[in-house]
Amino acid sequence: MKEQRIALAQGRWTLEKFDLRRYLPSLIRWFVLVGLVVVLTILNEYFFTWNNIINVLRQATILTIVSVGLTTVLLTGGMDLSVGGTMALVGCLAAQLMKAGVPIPLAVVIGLAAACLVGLLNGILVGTLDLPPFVATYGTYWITEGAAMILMRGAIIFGLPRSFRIVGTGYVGAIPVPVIITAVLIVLGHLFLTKTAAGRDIYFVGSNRDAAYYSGVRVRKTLLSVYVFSALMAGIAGLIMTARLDAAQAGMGQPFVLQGVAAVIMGGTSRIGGEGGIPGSVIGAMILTLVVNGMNLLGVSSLAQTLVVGLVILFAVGLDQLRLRWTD
Amino acid sequence: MTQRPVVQMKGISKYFPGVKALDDVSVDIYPGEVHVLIGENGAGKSTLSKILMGIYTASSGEILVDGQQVNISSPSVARAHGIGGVHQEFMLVPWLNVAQNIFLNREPRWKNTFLINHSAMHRQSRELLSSLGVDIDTRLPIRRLGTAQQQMVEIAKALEQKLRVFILDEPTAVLSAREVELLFKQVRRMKEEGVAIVYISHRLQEIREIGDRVTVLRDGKHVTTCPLSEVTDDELVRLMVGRNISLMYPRHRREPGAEVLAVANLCVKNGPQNINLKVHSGEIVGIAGLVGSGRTELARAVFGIDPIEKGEVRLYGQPVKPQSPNQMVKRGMGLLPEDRKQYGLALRNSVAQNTVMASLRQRFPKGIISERKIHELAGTYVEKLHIATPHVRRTVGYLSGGNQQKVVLAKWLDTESGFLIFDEPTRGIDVGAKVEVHTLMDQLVQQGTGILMISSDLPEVLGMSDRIYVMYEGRIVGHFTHEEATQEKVASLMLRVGVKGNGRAQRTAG
Amino acid sequence: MVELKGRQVSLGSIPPVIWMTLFLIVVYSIFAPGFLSGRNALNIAIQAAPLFVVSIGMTMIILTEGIDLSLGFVAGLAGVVTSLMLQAGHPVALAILGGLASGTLCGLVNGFLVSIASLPTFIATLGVGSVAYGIGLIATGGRSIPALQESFRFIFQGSVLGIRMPIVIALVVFGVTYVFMHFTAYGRNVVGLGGNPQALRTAGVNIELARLLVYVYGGLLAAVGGLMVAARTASGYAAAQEGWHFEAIAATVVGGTSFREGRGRIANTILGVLLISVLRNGLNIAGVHNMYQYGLIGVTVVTAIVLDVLFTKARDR
Repeated sequence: MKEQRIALAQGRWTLEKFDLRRYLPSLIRWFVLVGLVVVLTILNEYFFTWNNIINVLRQATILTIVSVGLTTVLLTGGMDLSVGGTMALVGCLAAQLMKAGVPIPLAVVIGLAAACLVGLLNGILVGTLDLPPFVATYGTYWITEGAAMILMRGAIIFGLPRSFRIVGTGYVGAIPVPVIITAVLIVLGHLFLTKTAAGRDIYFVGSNRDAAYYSGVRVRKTLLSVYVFSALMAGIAGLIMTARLDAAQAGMGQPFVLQGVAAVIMGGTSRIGGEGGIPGSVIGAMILTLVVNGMNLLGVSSLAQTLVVGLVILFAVGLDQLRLRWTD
Repeated sequence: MTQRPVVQMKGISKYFPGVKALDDVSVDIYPGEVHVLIGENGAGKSTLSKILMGIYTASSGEILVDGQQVNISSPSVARAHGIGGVHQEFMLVPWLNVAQNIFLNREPRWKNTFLINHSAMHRQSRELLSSLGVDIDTRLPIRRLGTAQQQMVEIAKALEQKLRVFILDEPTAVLSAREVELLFKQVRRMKEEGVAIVYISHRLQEIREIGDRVTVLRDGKHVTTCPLSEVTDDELVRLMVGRNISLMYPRHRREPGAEVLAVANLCVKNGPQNINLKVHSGEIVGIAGLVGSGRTELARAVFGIDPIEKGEVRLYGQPVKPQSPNQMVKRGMGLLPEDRKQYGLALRNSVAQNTVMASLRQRFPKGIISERKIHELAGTYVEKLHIATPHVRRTVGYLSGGNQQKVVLAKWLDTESGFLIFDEPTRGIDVGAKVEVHTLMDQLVQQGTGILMISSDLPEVLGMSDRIYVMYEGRIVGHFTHEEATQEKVASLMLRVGVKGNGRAQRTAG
Repeated sequence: MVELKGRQVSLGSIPPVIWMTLFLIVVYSIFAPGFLSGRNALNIAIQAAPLFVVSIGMTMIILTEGIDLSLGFVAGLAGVVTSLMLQAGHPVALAILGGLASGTLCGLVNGFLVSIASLPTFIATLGVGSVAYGIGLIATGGRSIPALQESFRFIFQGSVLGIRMPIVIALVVFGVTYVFMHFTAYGRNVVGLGGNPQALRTAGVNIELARLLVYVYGGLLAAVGGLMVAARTASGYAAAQEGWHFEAIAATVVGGTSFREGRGRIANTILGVLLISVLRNGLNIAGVHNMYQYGLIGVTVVTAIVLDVLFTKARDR
């Protein structure tokens, strides 16, 4: 059992015993994840093969990236419902540009710039105009998905340049490119949140916006930055999705909004803000992806899948709530 | 007393995490008399009354009503025993109107139906309020009422319940003299009807006027219970405070240094007007005034929270336009807010995190933070300020009021600001911690910090300040040095008129 | 200042929603032929009725500082249940009862999770919605179930005393809810839960039960709305009202009910519903393609909300 030095009064240090309660929620999540893997392997031995694992990881990337972005927003006590629309907008925009002959890097940059604009809009609505985030980003969702719809005129684009599709389908060694991108984003995001002052400000704003403001924290800047970050992540996810499916359509981001928020909350980031982090959200996203992947393997009809996903979310959150009751 | 007590509290103790609010307190309440509970902030008066009202449950001890032991587990149970009263925090629903609040969960219904009879409700509310001498439109939602009016609604609500034991917890803090008189009239009437009244206050003048018997609490312990006629005010104060008063305000006066803050002709929209004041390093400047005289608004304007319409602010001799707290903190200023739970602390976070909230970038200029260093830093403050916490990871919300305030202070100390505003620095803190905070403030100015202290505690203002400004309705109406100031002079300016014998000011026209 | 019903009303105190709706009406009258007709106004009212019913439920839930993301799926489920029962040969009245019961049951589960298990409302209702959706999908195999019985379709097609049924239903629901809100403990509890639950508790109200009831009622209303739509489309389809709760939320907020404070009234929600319905109707008439509608509705909703926030800030000063 690891012991930690904790500062104590009278200038003394004390060794605090490994406090189980502090790590309980994280343990539970790992337990659920591992438990799922075990159960699925038992039910279908194909599950634990290298091929399938890679498959699952690749499948998880989109949701995970969105969740990383959403984590920062939820940490400030806010919400970003527009990620689904942003995903679609960026994916469709970049696809259109590439089809029109624009060089790939430029198309990508323009797409991500569009994402930043959406994030800025959200940040202004929530940070400066002080609108409730739920409502504001819901409105932005309509706007972004509407813009995507207009862009696509109801069509689907496919047949994108090969060098772009590598982002979604390619491999570096044995690992798919999207997985590498996701891993990089996770590490960067986590380091940012835990090791930088700006990241710490996010926690401060989420814990008590007023107290943070009165302590000199730049609240507006912090809020703006998390919404831009979330939109950026959504944009990247949209690009990867487009690259992998070799298709872009206006509704492509829709299922990821609520699943993304669910993953983050399941991951232990409290909706009121100030608590949580990226690793938890990653596990939450993995759990959700596993559930879906497992159901596919087991041949569960897609109709029942919605039901199961709903139940899983309820179960995970219920556990979390119980944990809160115990440790208080 | 030949009568039997209606309520007996025996050996009541109450623990909160980290704090022992009540320690083996026993009190008997008799019908038909006003039993006063006095003590300093944090002495336990409110806690005791809340236990009686069913809002808290005692950690140990028992309560007897009419000689039978009861378990008052909720306000409804208390009410069933005829115990209730007016709380310190208003139990009012802001979006419901006055009548709805008075009759909350007891609304009159149309005969034989479950439909609420609004006209009867309003009629009865109006009668109730007019018997209190209050004229409020009962259709107004609560949130549109001023604090004093809300208080009257709370009182009406409690009166309506026809209780046997009526508890009043600091009811007069926001009331005018006339409203207090009307309240007292009601109290006397209830007394005649045999109601037992528990009156909590620390205003000695009021207690003399209305009380029959007094119980003194100090630091959660029962000190004494006796008829009011048998104690003098001085004795009461001594019993309440239990120590030499002069130790409460430890000050070492020194020569003031350079100017740290200068405010000239400052006007805030819908707020203070034409404010001129100065603070120097090494001194504590106090601002006295009534609630609502604009002191906190002034502090907020100087700190960059509220916009300034006109006037100038100079910090350390340099002119500055306060735009945001971020800017002002960077310039070397800090504010300990009046409401520390809302504006001063992140209650769900640890002591360590709260300590660095303002000084993060100062300590880590490169932007990369080290958790370990934060903990070490916090540890030094825990030691220096004697913060009672098992370790720095402790959630701040669990600390007592006094220790919470010390965390707020630690936060600002870590910014090494040369100028700090303290808004009600010892509000809601027990006496021991008050002295500690005062000592720390004194140490700060010894080291050259300049402090602007806003306080509604007149003895504190008089005891701690080197100079005193008095504010009234948004303007500075007086200035005293420590030598010149007396309670009467300052109070008379605060209240703007002559002071009547019972200490309560009568407002004349103006 | 203008005279309105014998009282002075300051023009500045009229919520922006009304201005926006009037603005839209004017614009449409000019640009879209056929908009400003009695028949079209009736159309708008009929189309708006189901959304209004659901929005009332949503408004109350939002007043208690909660949210319900399951209502769209609950509505769909209600339609599915009723259609299936009709298909199995049950009498219409029973089938309708079944549909309503399913909605009430979902509301009960929501209420239990939020109130007694203290789950965050967002997640709890999201989960329940998914489960309801899933059940609906499984029961129908993903297809839509026809429900062609005349007596069922009467809910939508028929008229009572010359007024079209949907409007009748909406009015009845509004009336009943109004009575609840203003004349019963339920209404006081809803406002209290959002404003100061502690005050209710000290007054002896069982807060958990009160909150539970709000969600139950919301589920019931969602079922009513769902049945109205099912009658209109003569079918039960699990995904029929997928995004409905969002529209209901938009209508509620646009109508002036605020998330944060529990401020608002159900009457105001009419305005929000009106705005959205007028907008939709006009766009349809003008032949604007569906995909543009999406974006435009979003812009309108955001604008309405921004205006409302500014308006409230100005008025409270």
